[in-house]
Amino acid sequence: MIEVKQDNDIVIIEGKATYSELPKLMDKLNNLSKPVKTIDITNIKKIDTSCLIFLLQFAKRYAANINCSKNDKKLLEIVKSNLKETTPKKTYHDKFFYNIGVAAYRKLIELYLFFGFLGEIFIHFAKALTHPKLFRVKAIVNDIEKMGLNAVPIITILSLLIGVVMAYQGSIKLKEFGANIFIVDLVSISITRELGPLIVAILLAGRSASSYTAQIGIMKVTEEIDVIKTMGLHPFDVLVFPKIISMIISLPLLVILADIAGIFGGAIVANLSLGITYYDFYLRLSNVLTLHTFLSGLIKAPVFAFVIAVIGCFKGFRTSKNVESIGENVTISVVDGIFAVIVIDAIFSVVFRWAGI
Amino acid sequence: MGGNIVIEVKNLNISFKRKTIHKNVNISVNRGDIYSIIGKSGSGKSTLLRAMLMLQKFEGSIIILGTDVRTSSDEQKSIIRKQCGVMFQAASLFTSLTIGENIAVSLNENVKLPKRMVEDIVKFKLSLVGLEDDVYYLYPSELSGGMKKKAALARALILDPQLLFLDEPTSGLDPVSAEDFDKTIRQLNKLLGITVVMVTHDLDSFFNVTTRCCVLGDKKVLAEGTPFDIIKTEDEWIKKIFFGERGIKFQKWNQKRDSY
Ligand SMILES: Nc1ncnc2c1ncn2[C@@H]1O[C@H](COP(=O)(O)OP(=O)(O)OP(=O)(O)O)[C@@H](O)[C@H]1O
Ligand SMILES: [Mg+2]
Repeated sequence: MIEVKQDNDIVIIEGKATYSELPKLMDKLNNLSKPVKTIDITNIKKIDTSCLIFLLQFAKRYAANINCSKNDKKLLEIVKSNLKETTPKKTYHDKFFYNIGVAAYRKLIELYLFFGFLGEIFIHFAKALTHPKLFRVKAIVNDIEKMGLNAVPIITILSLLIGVVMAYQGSIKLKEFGANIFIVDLVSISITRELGPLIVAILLAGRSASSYTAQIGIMKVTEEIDVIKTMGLHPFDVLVFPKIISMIISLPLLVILADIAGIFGGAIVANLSLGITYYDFYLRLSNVLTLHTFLSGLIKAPVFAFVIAVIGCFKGFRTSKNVESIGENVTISVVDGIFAVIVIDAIFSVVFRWAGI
Repeated sequence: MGGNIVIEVKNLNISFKRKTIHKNVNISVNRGDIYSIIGKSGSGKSTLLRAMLMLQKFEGSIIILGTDVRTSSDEQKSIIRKQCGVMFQAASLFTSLTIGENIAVSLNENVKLPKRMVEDIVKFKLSLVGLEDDVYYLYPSELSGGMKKKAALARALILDPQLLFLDEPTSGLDPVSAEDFDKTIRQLNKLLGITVVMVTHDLDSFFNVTTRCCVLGDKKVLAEGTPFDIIKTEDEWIKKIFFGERGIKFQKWNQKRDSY
C-alpha cells in the first residue's frame, strides 16, 4: 500500500500512509541511506496524522524539508503546532527490597485505617443508640432476606454433606472398636462447637462480604456515596449499619440451621452404616449435646458476623475510583474475611480452654 | 467505497419492551458532512447513535460505508468499526487505565509501534483536543468532567477515523473549549475528510459546525436538511429552539448569512 523511493537525497512516498502502514514506513525510512534532504509526499493518496507525526520528527532529525499538497500542508501545520518535544520517561528499576518494604508499609496503613474504621463504627453506633430512628428496619429486613434467607438452601446442603462425610469417616474406625454409639458424640460435638459456625462464616464471607464490597465500591465510583453525604445522611447509617445488624441477626440463625442439618446428616449415616436407629441417636444426642456445648459454638456467630460485615464494608470504602480496584478489593475482602474468621476461631478455642469451657 | 452517502438509515424501528422509541426513521449522512442530531431529551438521539454503532437491536436497515450492519458478518463489522471513532455521552473512559493508555488502546491493538512513537501520537492528540501533556499519566478519576470529555474525544480520534460519532461532545465544556472543539472538528472534517455525526444540545456549537442535521421528536424525524432548511419547518418545538430566547444566536447567524 505504501511505497518509498529514494532519489539521491530526495525521498518520495506514495500510496496510502495510514496508521496501519506506519510500522512499514518507519522501517523503510529509518533504513534509508542518508542524508535525506527532501521528503516528497505530493503524490500521496492519503496520509493521516500519525504518519505525519513520524515524518515531521524524521524531517527534523535530518533537517529535511517536506513537500506536500496544499491540503496536507495545512494538516502538517496543525500537527506541527501541536507536537511538543517529549522527554523520555524515567524508568524505574525493579527494586526487590524496596517493593517488599512498600508492600509491608501498605499493609500496616491498611490495618491502621481498619482500626480507624472500627472506631468510627463504635462511635457512630453509640450515637445511633440514642437515636433509634437511625436504624433502618426496612434495609435491615431486606438485607436479612438477601444475605440470610437466600443462603438457607446452600447452607443446609453443605452442612448436611459435612455431617454425612464426618460420620462416614468416623464410622469405619468406631466399628472396629465396637463403639458405634460414639458416632453421636463425634458428629454432634464437632459440628456444634466448630464446624457449623465455621462453615456458615466462611460461606457468608464469600457470599456477603464480596457483595458488600462490590456494592459500596461501585457506589463510590459512581459518586453515589457523595450524593448520600450531600443529602445530609451518613453513609454508615444507610449502608454499613443495616449490613452489620442484619448479618449479626442472620448468621447465628444460620449456624443453628447448619448444626441441625449437620447432625441430621450424621444420623443418616449412623442409621445406614452403623445400624443406629434415629431414636437411639436422639436419646444419645440429648445426653451428649449439652446446652453449654451448643452455646459455646453459637456464641462465636455474632462475632464472625460482625467481622465479616465490617471487613466487607471497609474494603468497599477503600476502593479507589476505578473498576479494577473494585475487583481487587472484592477478592481481598473475601480472603481477609475468611482469614479473620479462622484466626478468631483459633482465639476462641484458646480462650475457652483457659476458661475451662 | 459505495457512493457519496456514508450512512443511510432506512425504516428504522426501535423499541424497548413495550415502549417504541423510533418509528420509521429515515436519515442519510453524506461524505464530508458534519451531521447534527438534535431533539428533546429522551427523544432517542443516543439510541439512534447506538443503533448506528451496532450496540442496539433494531428493525429496518442501517448502511454504513456501503455495508448493511444488520446482515454483515463479524469481520465486516470489525472493519467498519475500525473506521469509526466514538465518544459517548458520559465520556466512558476506562477507569483503570491512565489517560495516555486510554487513548492508545486502539492504536496498540491495531499496529505494533515503538513506545515512543505511540506516546508522541497520543500526546499530539491530547494537544489537539486542548489538553496538557501532564494528563497523560493521570487516571480518569483525577480529571474534571470537561477534561474527561476532551480525553474521550482524543481517544475517538486516535486512528483518524473516517467516521466520528459524538454524543454531546460540548456538554460540560467551558465556552472557550467548546469553541476550540468546534474549530478542531471543522479542521479535521476539512483536512482529513472525517465525516462527523453528533448529537448536540449546544446551539452555538450547532451553528458553528453543522452542515446537515435532523430533528428527532415524536418517535420520528421531524425534519432533515441543512440548518437553513430546518428552520423553515412548521413545528412548534423547532420554532422554539430557534426563535425562543436561546435562539438569539441563530437570528444573528441568519443575518450574517443574509448579508453575504
Ligand atoms: N436500555 C434501555 N431500556 C429501556 N428504555 C431505554 C433504554 N435506553 C434508553 N431508553 C429510553 O429510550 C428513550 C431515548 O433515550 P436516549 O438515551 O436515546 O435519549 P436522548 O435523546 O439521547 O436523550 P438526552 O438528550 O437526554 O441524552 C428514553 O425515553 C429512555 O427512557
Ligand atoms: Mg443522549
